[in-house]
Amino acid sequence: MKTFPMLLKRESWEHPALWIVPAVVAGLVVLAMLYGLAKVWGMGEVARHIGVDLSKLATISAEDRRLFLSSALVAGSMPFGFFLAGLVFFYSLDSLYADRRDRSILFWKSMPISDIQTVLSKLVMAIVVAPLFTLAVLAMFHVVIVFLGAMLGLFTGMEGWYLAFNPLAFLQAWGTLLWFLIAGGLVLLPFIGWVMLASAWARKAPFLWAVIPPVAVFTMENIAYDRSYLGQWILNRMIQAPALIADMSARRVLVQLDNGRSFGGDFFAVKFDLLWSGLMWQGVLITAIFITGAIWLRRYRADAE
Amino acid sequence: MTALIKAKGLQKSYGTLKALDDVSFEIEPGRIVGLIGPNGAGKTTALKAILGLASFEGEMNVLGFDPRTQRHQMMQEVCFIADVATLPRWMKVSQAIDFVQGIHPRFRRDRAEHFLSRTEIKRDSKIKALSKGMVTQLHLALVMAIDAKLLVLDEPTLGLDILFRKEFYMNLLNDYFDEERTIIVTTHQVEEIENILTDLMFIHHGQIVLNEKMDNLENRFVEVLVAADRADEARALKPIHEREVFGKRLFIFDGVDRQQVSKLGEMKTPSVTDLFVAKMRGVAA
Repeated sequence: MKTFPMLLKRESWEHPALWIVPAVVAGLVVLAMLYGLAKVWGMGEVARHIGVDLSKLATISAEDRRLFLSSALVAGSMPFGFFLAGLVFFYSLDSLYADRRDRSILFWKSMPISDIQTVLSKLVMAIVVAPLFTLAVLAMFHVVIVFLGAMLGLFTGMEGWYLAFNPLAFLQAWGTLLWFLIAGGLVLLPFIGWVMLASAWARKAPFLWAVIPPVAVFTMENIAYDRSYLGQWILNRMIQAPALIADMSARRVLVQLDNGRSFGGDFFAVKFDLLWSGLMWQGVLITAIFITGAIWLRRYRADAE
Repeated sequence: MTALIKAKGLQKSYGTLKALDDVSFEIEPGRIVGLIGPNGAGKTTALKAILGLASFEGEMNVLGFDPRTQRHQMMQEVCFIADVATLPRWMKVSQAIDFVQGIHPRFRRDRAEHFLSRTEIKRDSKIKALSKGMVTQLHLALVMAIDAKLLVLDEPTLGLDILFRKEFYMNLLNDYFDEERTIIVTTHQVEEIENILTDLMFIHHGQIVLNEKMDNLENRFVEVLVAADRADEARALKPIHEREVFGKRLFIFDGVDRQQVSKLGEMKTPSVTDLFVAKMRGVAA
């Protein structure tokens, strides 16, 4: 059946912000780079002044050189992960509420779609399609900034930069980002599930329904026990997750310079430990409960509308 | 003939208000049923029960499905327009068509395009840019292009001007309805639909107070204008309704001996509107 892809398409029609926002941010960064390019035009040998001789990249292995570029691309893309998290939050908040507010739910419910399909399409949109939109924007963004970076290098005497260039570095960066974005979604899954439940529940102000209960639990726990189990759980989750997704110092690469100094550092490598971690499956279980609740509300709560 | 919808002993309360109070009815295929009642009589609740949009007690069977547990399968063959302007405002007209085509196995795009070609609706307009009348036209075009066995319309023309209302029912009757299909329509503008209905159902205080084929109304109900001095004779025949008209008394009888009534004055078949008033108000005029 083509129903599910159609439901995802529908979501992307309703929420173009999921790709427009990252595209606009990427566009602004590109503009800033163009401005920088105009500034350094004719500045000359900046590289020599700051003491970094990129031609020394020739002394390390091709694989390590590729790591330089792909890691730079991944690191430069991290802010987009935060934008994505924000977008997904507001998307989820709206997902099961907006059509009840404007009564178009009566149109959606006149179609042969089960409420399970509807709710799951919105969850898949949040944790799969929205990250893919961001990734697609980033892929284009990377090609443009590498090109602009090359121009920048040309004008500032950092031609050696070309040594790091390798088409495979892009694939490596995109593969890494794909995993980071999906893994980020899996770590945040119970929060997304909770927000969707609030969205399905709220007759008004889903934002308050999403935010106040956890804040209230947090406050009450602090008063009663002097500490918050919920807060601790969330904190642990956020602290433990990165180590399950990537090894932050998997490989140290240093490029020796003639003056005895060096540049480079520790590079990360992806890890898939998250997939078989208790942290993830616990989250999946909690999400399943929230989403089941959201489906139930979607199915039977239309009642009182 | 097997019934398309069988409802038995439907009960539904909102607090102390009984929206459905032991409601039973059957609807056969190929009928256009008007479900008529004052606001808050239980019309919408009854429709929501049929469409699986509300919980209720009692037995309900729609096309062989229980709307409560088999709604998804049922909706393959049932379509509805609940209220005007429920199409999502952010959507483009072309997206709405693409969506229904992608979702509904019984949707025929060429039919929708054909209906739309008779309107001034542009494909790349957003729905929020359309007038209320146009939104209804679009919704009707989408629904009429779906080959559904049952179409439910809940106040489909509320708030539209008279031209759109007339056109709406004309299109429905001429381009959509046939013996295979069944339409249930609620409205409180009875006079607008009385000549397209095959069946009439009155609902009042959560109860069905009349459920009759239009063809039988003539046999069953009679309206007589009686001179004031003979009013007591008429009252003896147990009218269901009495009111004063130009110094005379107007009575409506249900299933009375015509010979007796004919002596009192000139007989007529009451209009649906009069019948509605009679059933809602009763004898106390």
